Amino acid sequence: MKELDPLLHSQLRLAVMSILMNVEEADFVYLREKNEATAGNLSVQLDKLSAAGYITVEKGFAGKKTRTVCRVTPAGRTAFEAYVAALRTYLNL
Amino acid sequence: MDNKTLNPHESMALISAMIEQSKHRVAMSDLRVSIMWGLLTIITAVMVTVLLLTMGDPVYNYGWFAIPAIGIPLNIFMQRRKDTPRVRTYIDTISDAVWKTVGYIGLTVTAACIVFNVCGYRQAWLAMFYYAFIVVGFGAVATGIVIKEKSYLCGGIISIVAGFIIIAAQLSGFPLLVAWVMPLYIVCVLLMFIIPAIIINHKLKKSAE
Repeated sequence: MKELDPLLHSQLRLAVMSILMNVEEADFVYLREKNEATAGNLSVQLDKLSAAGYITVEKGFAGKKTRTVCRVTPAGRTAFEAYVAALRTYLNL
Repeated sequence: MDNKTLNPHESMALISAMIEQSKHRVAMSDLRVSIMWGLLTIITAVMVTVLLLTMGDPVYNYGWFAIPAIGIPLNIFMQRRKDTPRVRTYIDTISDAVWKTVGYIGLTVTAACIVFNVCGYRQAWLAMFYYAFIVVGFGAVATGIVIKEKSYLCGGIISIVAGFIIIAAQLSGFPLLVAWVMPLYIVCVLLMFIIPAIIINHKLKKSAE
């Protein structure tokens, strides 16, 4: 049986990836609200996903406010799909 | 939500829940823009129709320029005032691209008609009818398909069919009278812009309850 990607096998990181797989881009505030996570924790998990090359994190401005936008990368997409495929084998789906 | 490790069942449930949550965002946060273009077109069409029917001078057809002259700056102003969306879906991108394409085609056709007009071929303005009914209709159909909204789809199809009726009428030598073409156009704009916006707005309010 395939091993589940440990990077995705964590609640918050998996939730973030699930959202990003479904949209083109989402900002930090949206992800924080949808995941009901603290800013600090979300920031750490986004850094981990970014370091693995699964997402890109782009810091910019929307007017005078800072805005952090996240997007899933092709590598992240592949990893997520592999993770879901592995999950299916575990669940005999 | 924290960093706990999940079992496969929990993982699958979480993925489904998150996909469901992000799916709920309707890509039509720009309903105001759609309504603005619809209302502006209808008001202009009514004014031009009334002026043409009462005064009978074709010079009032220049009133159509009010649509781009007012609509484009107003559209830019509304986009600037709008908060940057916190999430952007593929539907947003496709929908934007469709209407930008419709807009650019409109500007190009207008420019071409102006050139023809300057050269003395006033009948060239009929091309704007085909644009307004058929190309804009395709924009509404494409929007209806991507956001899965039947009212857009119906409005667009009715407008395209109306456009082809006008072509058929013209080719058959049937007179394109202001008295029937303009009301038909106003109905099509209502069906393509205003009615779908009202329906989507109603659905959004209902889902928010």
